[in-house]
Amino acid sequence: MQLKYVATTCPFCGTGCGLNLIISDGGVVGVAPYHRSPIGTGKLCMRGLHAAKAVGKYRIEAPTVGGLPTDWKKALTEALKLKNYSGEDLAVYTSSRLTNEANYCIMRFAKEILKAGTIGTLISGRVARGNVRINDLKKADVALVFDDCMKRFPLTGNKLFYMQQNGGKILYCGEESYTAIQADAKCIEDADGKLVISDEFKNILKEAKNPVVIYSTTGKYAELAEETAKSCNAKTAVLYDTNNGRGAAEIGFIPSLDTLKATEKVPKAMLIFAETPMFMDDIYEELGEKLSKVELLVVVASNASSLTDIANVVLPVTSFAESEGSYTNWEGRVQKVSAALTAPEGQKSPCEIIAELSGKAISYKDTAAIFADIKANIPAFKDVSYEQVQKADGAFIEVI
Amino acid sequence: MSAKGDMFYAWTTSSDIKGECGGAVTSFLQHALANKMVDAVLAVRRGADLYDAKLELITDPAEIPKAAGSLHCGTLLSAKMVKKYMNGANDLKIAVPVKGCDAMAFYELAKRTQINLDNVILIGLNCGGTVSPITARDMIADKYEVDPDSVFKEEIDKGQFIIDYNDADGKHQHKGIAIDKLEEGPEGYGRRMNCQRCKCKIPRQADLACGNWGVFGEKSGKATFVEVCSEKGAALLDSAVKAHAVEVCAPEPKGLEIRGKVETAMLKLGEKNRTRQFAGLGEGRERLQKMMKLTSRCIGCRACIENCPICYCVECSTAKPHLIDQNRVPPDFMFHLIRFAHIADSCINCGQCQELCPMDIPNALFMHAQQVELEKMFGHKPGYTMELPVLAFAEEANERARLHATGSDMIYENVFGEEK
Repeated sequence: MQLKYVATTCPFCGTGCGLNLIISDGGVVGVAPYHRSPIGTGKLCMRGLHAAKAVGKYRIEAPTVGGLPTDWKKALTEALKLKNYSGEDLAVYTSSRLTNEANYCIMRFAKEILKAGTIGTLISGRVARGNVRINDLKKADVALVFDDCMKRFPLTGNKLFYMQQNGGKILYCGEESYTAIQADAKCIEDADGKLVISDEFKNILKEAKNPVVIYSTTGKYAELAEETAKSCNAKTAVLYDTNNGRGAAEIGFIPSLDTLKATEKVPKAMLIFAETPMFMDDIYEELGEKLSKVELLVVVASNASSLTDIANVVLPVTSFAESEGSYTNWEGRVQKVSAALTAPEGQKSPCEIIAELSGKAISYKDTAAIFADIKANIPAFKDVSYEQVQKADGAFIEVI
Repeated sequence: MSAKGDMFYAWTTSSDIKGECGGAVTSFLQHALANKMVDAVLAVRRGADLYDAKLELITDPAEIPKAAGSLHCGTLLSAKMVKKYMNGANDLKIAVPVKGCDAMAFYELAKRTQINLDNVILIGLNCGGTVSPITARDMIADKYEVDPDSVFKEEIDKGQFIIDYNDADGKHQHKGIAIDKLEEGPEGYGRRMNCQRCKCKIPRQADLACGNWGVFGEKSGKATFVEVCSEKGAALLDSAVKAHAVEVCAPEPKGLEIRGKVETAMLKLGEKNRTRQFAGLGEGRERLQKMMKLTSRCIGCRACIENCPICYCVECSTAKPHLIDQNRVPPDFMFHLIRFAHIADSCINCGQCQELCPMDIPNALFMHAQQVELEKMFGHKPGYTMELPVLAFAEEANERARLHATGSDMIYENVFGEEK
């Protein structure tokens, strides 16, 4: 019997807690606390505790074309028909759950080779950057929290208990919720869903020495939060729902789910890197009708979903914990993701798939080489040291 | 031949083992593995850095010296891992180095037939307490004014938390601060709160209890103090001596006295900390209100249950919709009342439910405060013997079948199976 721990970063929300995957005889059997994580200090919420299940059970074993299993060569040839489309007719959507390295390769392919008209992620919300670090939340004297951020992001939320213990106050705006229960004062939206931030709240923020406004990019009140922070001269903690939402945004992917949902003009061809790891919700289900109209739908996925059911070409990809790289959490901390498992035979990593699709034009010898290229081309990453990313504390993409 | 109760100074004969205090523990583990007394050793290894401890199952005796002697930032609890991921050592013989809380957890899980202690050799390690890694780093930066990354050694000795580090000029420096000084402050520095309350410093529940307390005279710093605590421990020690894996001599009388004094002082400090921390909870209604307020931070993630060495039920009552609304966050206070009622009698104060609570509820403080009261009332002391608490009499499946057959949900009805 074999049993060892592999430290990695949680694949769920943008807080970026560290965790240990327990590897026994080649498989992930569970999760153990990673006390050395500068964010979680070993603590995990219900999602992280079950990260072992993120690898998924319904793996796609072989590439398919028209729903039928085939070999990689034929599938890649079919996928490359994407090149017959261009501009507005072609969209590339990635997953904000993939590593920075994978997303950088995908971005290069979408821009340089496919010259796609739309390049985005299938998530809602906006792109925004906060200017406070997670552990500095403990030192704030007032935190104005929107939506139910303490429950949605538990290991970000718990820093506010330290703040409260140090004499700081939690103010809350939104619906009745978990966060509302924890708050020292609250503004609850009315029956019509209307929210007015009281002048008292604004005055408290303005008079505070170290105020911070906390909201999520997908929150109902994201815009209001942003305005309030600006008008009250408060710092902001902008939280991302996905583990690498901030990283994908820095690389240049625009959250495109809402636009796609609203548009009548669906691109004729699409390349989608689907959600990996496996999640409980099939986020593609509601897009099904729209996507079935696409002439050529190429999907790269590790697990079967309603999306792979309707795809013209499916390319099987490594799942969470099968390829290494890094995620960028909401505060801009770049942290290591370890390859704890060997991928099942016949699966390629996102970067390998891009290398194949690009005829080796976008191909790197290892993760460090991709990272060096990211550093050279993505402004936010210019000062990030790859060596520091490998360490327990990670490295920040920009100095605040 | 040694016997239970015997005490020795022991040291390794191997040049590969660089143990700080004689390396006897490493030698015992290696000897047990090399001589097939066990199939594997569940050891603590250093992970990312000095502050990171991780468990690893080692099957190659040559790998044993690479395992960490002791990391004070290692706050892991190994027993639950054995239960969860190693089938409770039912089909695998293992040796495990254990702190007091680990040893107590092994006993409590063994009582509940979740670990087969016949297949486990416990090598006890004296423990003055552990410090959570991030707390240690913050404390070193703040109180020691030293870059935590420049520290290459840490220890708890003579009431101090001591670090060895290289200063800006690369010079070796040594700095210690009294633990009670560190723990007095409002920052929450020092050992984990449960370690501060701990009164299991020399784990005599293990097969051998080892440490550096009481190593006096010429062997000081070169030998490990070993107390034989069971026949299994005696057999391992004798075998290791016979194979010349370790050498032993009688302890100095002065050493025995010192060891006794260190232990007594630690126990006194533990008692003082209990009094102080429990007093902070208040009494009666005030205590209840405090508990209700702080448990209202709960998000129902069940990390406390997952990591508790007492919890083992397949069907947890807190997951039953007729007892607890599973969609409500925070869950009703009943969630916590069920936990208190089910496990407080057996709480061993390992601290995991608190350390791993994402919402920082002082769960271990609440549970331990109740355990000491229950111990006063019923005389049951968990973690030291195989004596069963009332609630552990039953095997879950059998008990559920029995309850089902009674047609009643009264747990205490006819608990001894008497004829009606």
